[in-house]
Amino acid sequence: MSETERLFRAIREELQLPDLVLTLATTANDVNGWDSMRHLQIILRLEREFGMKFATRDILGARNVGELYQLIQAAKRP
Amino acid sequence: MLKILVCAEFSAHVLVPLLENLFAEQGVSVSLQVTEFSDPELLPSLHLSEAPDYLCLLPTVQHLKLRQLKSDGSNFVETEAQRWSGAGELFCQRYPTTRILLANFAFTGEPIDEHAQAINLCWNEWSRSNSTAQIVRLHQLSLMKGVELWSDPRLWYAARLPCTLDQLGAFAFEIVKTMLSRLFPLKVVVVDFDNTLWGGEIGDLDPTQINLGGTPDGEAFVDFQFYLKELIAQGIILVGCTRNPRQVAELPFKHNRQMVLALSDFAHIEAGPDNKATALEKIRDLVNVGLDSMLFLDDSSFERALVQNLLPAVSTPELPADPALRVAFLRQLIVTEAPLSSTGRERNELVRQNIARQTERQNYPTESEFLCSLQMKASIRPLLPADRPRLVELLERTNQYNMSGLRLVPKDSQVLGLTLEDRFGHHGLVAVALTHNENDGLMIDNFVMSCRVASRGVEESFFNHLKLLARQEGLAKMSMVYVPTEKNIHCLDILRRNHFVKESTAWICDAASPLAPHWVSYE
Repeated sequence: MSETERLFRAIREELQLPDLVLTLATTANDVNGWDSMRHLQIILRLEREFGMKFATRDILGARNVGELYQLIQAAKRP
Repeated sequence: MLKILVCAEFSAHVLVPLLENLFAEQGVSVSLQVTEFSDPELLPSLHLSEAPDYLCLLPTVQHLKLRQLKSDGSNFVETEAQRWSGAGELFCQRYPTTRILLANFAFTGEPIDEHAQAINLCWNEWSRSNSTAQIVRLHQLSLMKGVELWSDPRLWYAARLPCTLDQLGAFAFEIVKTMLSRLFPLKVVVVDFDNTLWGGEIGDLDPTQINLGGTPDGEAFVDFQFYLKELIAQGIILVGCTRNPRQVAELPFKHNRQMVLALSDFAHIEAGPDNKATALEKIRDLVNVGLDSMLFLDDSSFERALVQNLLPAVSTPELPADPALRVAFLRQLIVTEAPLSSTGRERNELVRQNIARQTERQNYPTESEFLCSLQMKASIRPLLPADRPRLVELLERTNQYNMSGLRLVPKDSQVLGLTLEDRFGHHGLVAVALTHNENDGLMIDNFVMSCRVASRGVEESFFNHLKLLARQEGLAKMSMVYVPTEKNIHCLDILRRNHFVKESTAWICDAASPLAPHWVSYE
């Protein structure tokens, strides 16, 4: 499974929306139920999934799924 | 519907769904209103359409740190403690039926803990002297979880959350647990013997060979018994429940020196072949408490499942199979409050006496002959300041014999109390009436009586005395406020037996008709 697929799957599971269509351009506002609490749950899930930690500024800072993906990639760089 | 106003120094709206779910699991429907602010002084000026049942105050140690930076250091602890407790008290002056929950400060592992802990101690003291206040023990919870598991500073800065998302559930559970401990107080712990108090089965082993002390599991059983001793000191009634014959069940108490509990620590031991659900029903009748005030501890999953199915009102936790984990498990589950009065501390012994009375009943052919034999002496008098702790306990803890449910004493009420003794011992202060004069009648705002003395003629004696007082003041009638609840149906019997008749909202009776039983002498 590609990293974007892993990202999408984690988000779908945290939102409990297995059929949700996600792209890198999807924002929280596009999805019913993606409120601030769910967003925090998604962030913590992604930290567990990808074995990384988001910086405080990034916890609520990402504007769309693509930016979440970039933050995960950036965390992997040495 | 329980109305709860949450005032928090963090984004407490995240607690709402968690609290709603936890209350729903307990069959309690709630309406939650959440406000976020750091200024408890504003509390009394909040304009609410109706009084909440609970005001839940949730300060945070993060804000405490900020205030400490701005403080000149003088009286910081006292000022900070008073800020929240004082604001709660002012709020309750405006809404006298509201109870307060105040969460103490969580542990952080930082220097602020020294002040936070001192403030927590002030709040403990305050809650002991304020009957409507309870402390939500976040300090203990956070210590148990450990700082790393409990907090994530990023979530504080990014989302104003005082703990991690995983711990929010534990936070909400602590609030619900504290609230329910007062709404449905635990009164009786019923404990199995074999493999619960000690390892092994006493029917198959010599009493000196049971697993108690000396081995890892044996040490854990000893500690478990110490924990039950602690509960007794907190006013919990301890009852044993075993399928062994009584003389077999008693052997370890008589012959094993590692036993911490003595036979005299039990208010009663229900021994015999009955299944545990039947035994629990017998215990309920004997001790005279509701099933929902009982906690059943048994190592056997079979017995637990039986009780869970047949008597779902009894709390039957899934006791860990490993005896070493049981005390910590129960400490997380149970909130007990130190009893306020000496009567509260002696509850276990008082119930023992009461069961002895009931056993004695079998020796008399009729109820009235038995009641005469008790040689009951009642004394009815205005309460003294020294009676206050017991008064608070009676108003707070009594549900079955609580006419109006009023937990506080209205300002213009007189408080009369009845103390009772008989040939088995003293019962202490067992009934109170809050009264005031209104037009041509004596209005009883509330009448509360301990269930230990139900059906003995105590209430008749008390009402007779009130009628006498009414007549002395030239009042022709007595009126009682009765507010039905799920639990106080017995009050209706009392009203009818004492010839109270419902007239619009109050229950009225003629002050001229004496109705005192001859078996209670009173002064």
